[in-house]
Formats: sequence, structure tokens, C-alpha cells
Amino acid sequence: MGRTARVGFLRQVLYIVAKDFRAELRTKELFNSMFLFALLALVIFNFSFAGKMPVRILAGAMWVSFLFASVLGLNRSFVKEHEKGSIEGLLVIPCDRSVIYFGKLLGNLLFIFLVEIVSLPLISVFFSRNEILQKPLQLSGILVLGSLAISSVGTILSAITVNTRTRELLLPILLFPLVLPVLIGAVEVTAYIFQPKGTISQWIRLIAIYDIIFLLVPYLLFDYVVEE
Amino acid sequence: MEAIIEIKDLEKVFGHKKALRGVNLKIYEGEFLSLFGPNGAGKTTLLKSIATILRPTRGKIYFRGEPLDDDSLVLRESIGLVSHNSLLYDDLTAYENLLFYARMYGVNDHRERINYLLHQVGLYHRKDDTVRTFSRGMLQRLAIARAILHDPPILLLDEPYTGLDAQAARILDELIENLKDGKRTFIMTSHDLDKGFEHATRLAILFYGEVVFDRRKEETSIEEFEGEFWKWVGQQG
Amino acid sequence: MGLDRKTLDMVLYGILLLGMFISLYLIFLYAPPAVNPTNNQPWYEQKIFYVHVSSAWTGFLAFLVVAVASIIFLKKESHLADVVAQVSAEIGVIFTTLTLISGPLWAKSFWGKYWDWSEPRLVTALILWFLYVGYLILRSSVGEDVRRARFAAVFGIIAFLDVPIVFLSVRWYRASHPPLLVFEPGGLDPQMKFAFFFTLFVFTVFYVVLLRNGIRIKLLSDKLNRLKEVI
Repeated sequence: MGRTARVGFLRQVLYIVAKDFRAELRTKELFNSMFLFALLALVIFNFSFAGKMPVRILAGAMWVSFLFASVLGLNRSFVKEHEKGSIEGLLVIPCDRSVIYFGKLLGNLLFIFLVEIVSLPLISVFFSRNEILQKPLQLSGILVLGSLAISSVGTILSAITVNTRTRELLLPILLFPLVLPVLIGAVEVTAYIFQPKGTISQWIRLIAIYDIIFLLVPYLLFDYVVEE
Repeated sequence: MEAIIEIKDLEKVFGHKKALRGVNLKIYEGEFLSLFGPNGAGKTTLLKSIATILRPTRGKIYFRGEPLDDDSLVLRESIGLVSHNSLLYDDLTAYENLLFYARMYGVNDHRERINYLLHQVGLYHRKDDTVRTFSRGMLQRLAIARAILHDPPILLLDEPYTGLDAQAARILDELIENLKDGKRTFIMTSHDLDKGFEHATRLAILFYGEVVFDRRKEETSIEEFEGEFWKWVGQQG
Repeated sequence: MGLDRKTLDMVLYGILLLGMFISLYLIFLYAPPAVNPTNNQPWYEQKIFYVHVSSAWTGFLAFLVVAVASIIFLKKESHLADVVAQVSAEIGVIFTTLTLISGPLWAKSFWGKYWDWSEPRLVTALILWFLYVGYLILRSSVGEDVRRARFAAVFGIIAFLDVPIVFLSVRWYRASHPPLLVFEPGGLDPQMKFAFFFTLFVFTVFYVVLLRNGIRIKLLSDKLNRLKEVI
């Protein structure tokens, strides 16, 4: 009994995701707060624009709301590991340190994406904007690409900021300038999905390249952040 | 006989504070090493360095004769750590906590193993309760179960008796006794002279990041050891 | 060694002082006054351009130094590399702030408004400023020395990689939403070009001087702090 076999990289990543999901399923605190936050933000946007949101503004409002909701989730992803020192537990397990990075990243991405696809139908109904649900596949695509960027940078940043005194404030300060190009592109692509006009292939390329770079670089640097 | 773990000139610096100033230690298979020292002597730092949670500033650690490389997977597979923190997740049940670690360690028959250990530490009746509701003693017991899921040949215990009441301490005694099988190596840091002495086959004292006393139990007497203990631990670093 | 360092310092100061005077001459007297392409009037405010672009490039250079020093620090755990990164970041903020002040002044005279969100250089300078400030705030939020340097280094590298992407994205944004006027600095007289490159050179020397002094001060104050702890 207790005999072990080396576990594959991907499996360990998925186990971490499963663990975080299981914990979240029990309390649902994070999902609820992220979801409500995103919705509230959009309601406020709606009132600010007196109900008249042209397609670009709608796309922008959506992404801003999701970005802010993401920050809530990102902040928490490593706080939980520091509560009972469980980050040490992760460090003592025989695995590559980057398993922790990808596990947290994937978890963050799934949370954000979940919040997005749950809130969008509601937004479509309450704001009477049919264009939101017209092309669900394409919309999901840009949601994933954009949220991946936010998650990949956000995960390594939150691993850093969890060690600081001002963690909740510091994360957005560091994150927002970094994800700006993706936000610009994501809004362009989203507006195009709602109402095709002009070309967006360059934006998709930009976001894809951004995703690749900012998956690779944090992966290379994660060891320096998580070890002491 | 070759040492299972050899520590050579280990130094660890945190900012400007030197936690370990050149530690040399040879630990042999089957030993129970009790490590004492005043607060801030570097006991936890040393233990964490062996557990590969901390990277040494200078010096090397050898496992079965091989130096630790960047990944040190081989050592990590062989180590169980019972730390100051319980390393458990509040929102998961006892069973789920053990399931996570069992999976990460690649324990083959994890269901049986987990249930067996839960029985061993007397927590089977609480296996579906979230850890948030556990007392310190229960956390400690679960933490030990977590540490030995993969049946590690080396067990690291960081002041495991701290904060335990008499009953919990007795359960811990039993658990440790059960784990002593002659081949398993223990390294335990302790504040408690009696407990540490009782379990040990080897005694060492760390002071200000250096080893100042290192003897096998049969090479010394309880009086001599007590004298040394109070000499070093009496002075706060 | 002390003599060599002092000599180098003297040389640098000399170049800097002389260079500043020459540069001022070049900008104000040598380079011909520009003509504003929008109204064909003499355009004296254009001369801010020399300072604006020079400070922008120097700000970017400082960030490149931060990134390189950060990589060196992570590989070699060299305390000097960490000091270089920190000092360069502090200097970079100053130059970037200068860019952000001179930029709008120049923009007003060209576009009639103080800011244009489709001007990639301006927006990138703004983001660069945020990243610098973020870097410095991060440094001051971490208590422990080694971790502070490591976190800052990781952020410095990631942030630096972002800058060209920001520039590109604003450029493409401008292509989709073109403003009425686009500034292309291609059409410069050779005299203007010379004035510009000379000013750029002087700014770079200025950066180097500030960097050397900053590093020296930081190393001394570190030593002092260490001595204080022993006492």
C-alpha cells in the first residue's frame, strides 16, 4: 500500500484545477462575487450611457466589467494557498514548479470564462441586445483568447502580490497596463462580432501572439516567484 | 555506512539575516534525529531546506550520495513533511484533502490507502467534514496522514507537539511509534526536551545557524544532554 | 581605480555640460524653424519635439536596462544588477514624466489638443510610465530583500516585453480609427536631423551620468544600512 508511480505533468495540472474547483463548489463565494460584480458593473454602464450603448461601447463595457471581475478571482487564487501554508505542500510534492503555474492559470481561466458565459445571456436579455448571442462560437473564441491573456499574466502577478502588504491594490496596478493591448484588441474583435465592419485579422493575430509570449515567459520565470 | 542525507556547509541567508551559517550533518537511514535549539536558531529553516522548499544560499545537500539538482524530484518523492502549518485546504473535507495529495504523489491504490490512514489517525468518522471545522489536534493528525500517504522513507516533523493537548500528544506518540520500522528515517525539531529525547536515537542542537552538539543517544547521558540543552536553549539568540 | 573612475566622471560631466550648450545652440539657432503643415505658419513650438522624442527614447532605454539587469539578476543573483535595475527605473520615471509633459505641449501646437489617444508614441509613453511606477511600488511593498529583488526582476522582464506590443496595438488602433492629422517625423531637414541626433546623444550621456551616480549612492546607502544592523 502507498506505492507510488510518477504522475504526468498534465495530470498534476488537472488535479490542481480539480482541487480548486472542488473547494470553490463548496462555498461558491468566489463565483458569486465575480458574477455579481460583473453584472453590477454593466448595470452601472447602462445607466451612465442612458441605455444607448452603440456596439463598440457595449463591447468595451463588457470587457471592462469582465476584467474587473477577473481581478477578484486572481487575487484569491494564491491567497487560499497561503492561509494554511498549503503553498509549502505544493512545493514539497514531486512536481515541476510550473505545474503550479499552469494549474492555477487553468483554474483562473475556467472561473473567468464561467462567469462570462453565465452573465452574457443575462445581459443579452436584460439589455435587449440580441447581437450578443448571435454568434456564440465566435464570441466564446474571443472570450477565451482575451481571458487567457488576463489569466496568464494575472496568475504570475498574483503569485507575486500575495506576498506584499497591499496585495489587493497592487494586482490591478500592475495588471492593467500589461493587458491593455489585449483589451484594445478584444474590444475591436467583439465589436466586429456584434456588427461586422472593417478588418480584425490583425487583432486576432496580436492577441494570439500576446497569449503565446505571456504563457511562455511566466512559465520560465515562475520558479523565481514561488520559491524562497 | 553511507548517510542517506548529507548536508555540507549549508548556508541560508534571508536578506541580511543569516539563518544557517554552515551546517554540516550526516543523517543515516533508520535514525531518529531530534533537533533542538532556541527560537530563531534555524531549525525550521534547516528542515525546509531538506524538504526542498527553500533553496540554499550556499552549500549542498546530498541524497543517497547524489547532490540535489534543480528538480530534486527523487528526494521529494521520499520525503513526508509535517510542518508548522497544516498544509491543508479549509474548504475541502478530510478525505478530499488526502485525495488531492494522494493523486499528486501518484499513490496507486489511493482509496484504500486514504481510508486506512484515516482509521490510523482516528479521523475516519470525520472524513466528510470540511477541515475548517477541525481542532488543532485533529489538523495535526490529518497532516501526518497527509505526510505519509506515499509511505516516505524519510519523515520531517517541525515541532509537531506544539499546541497539542495531552490526549492529542499521546495519539501522536502512538503514530510515531507505529511508523518506526527500523528503516524509516526521522528528523524532528522540538522545543520539548522530554518528547524529543524520548523518541530520538540521535540528538543535535542548533544555535544561531550552527550545529553545536551532535551525538548519538547512547554516547551521552540524559544529564549531560540536559546540561547542554539548557546551556544553549537558555540563551536566546 | 579611484583615479580612473574620477577621470571618467570628469570626462562625462564635461561632455554633458558642453553637449548641453551645443545642443541648445543647435536647437534654437542652427536648426531652421519649422513650418506647421496645417497652416503654413512658422511653428516654433515644434522645437519641443527635440526634447520630447529624446526623453522618450531615453525613457525606453532606461527600461531596456531595467529588463537586462533583471535577467542578469535572476541568472547570477548579483546585487549590483538589482541596484542597476532599481536606479534605472527611478531615472526612467523622470525621463518618461518629461516625455509626458513635453508631449502634450507639442501636441497642442500640432493638433490643437493636448492629447491624442491614437498617437502610439504618447500612449506607449503613458503605459511605460504606469509600468515604471508599478515597478517602484512593487519594490516598496515587499519587505524582504531577496524576494523583493526577485519579484521586481520578474515584473521588469514581463513589463518590458509588453511595451512594443502596446506600441503596435495603438498603431493598429490608429489605422482603424484614423485621426485628422497624423504626425510622421520622416520629413526633417538634414540640419534638424543633426540637431535631433545630437540632442539624443546628450540625453543619453545625461542618463549614463545619472545612472552612475545613482548606483554609487545606492551602494553606499546599502553598506550604511548593513553597518547599522551590526551595531
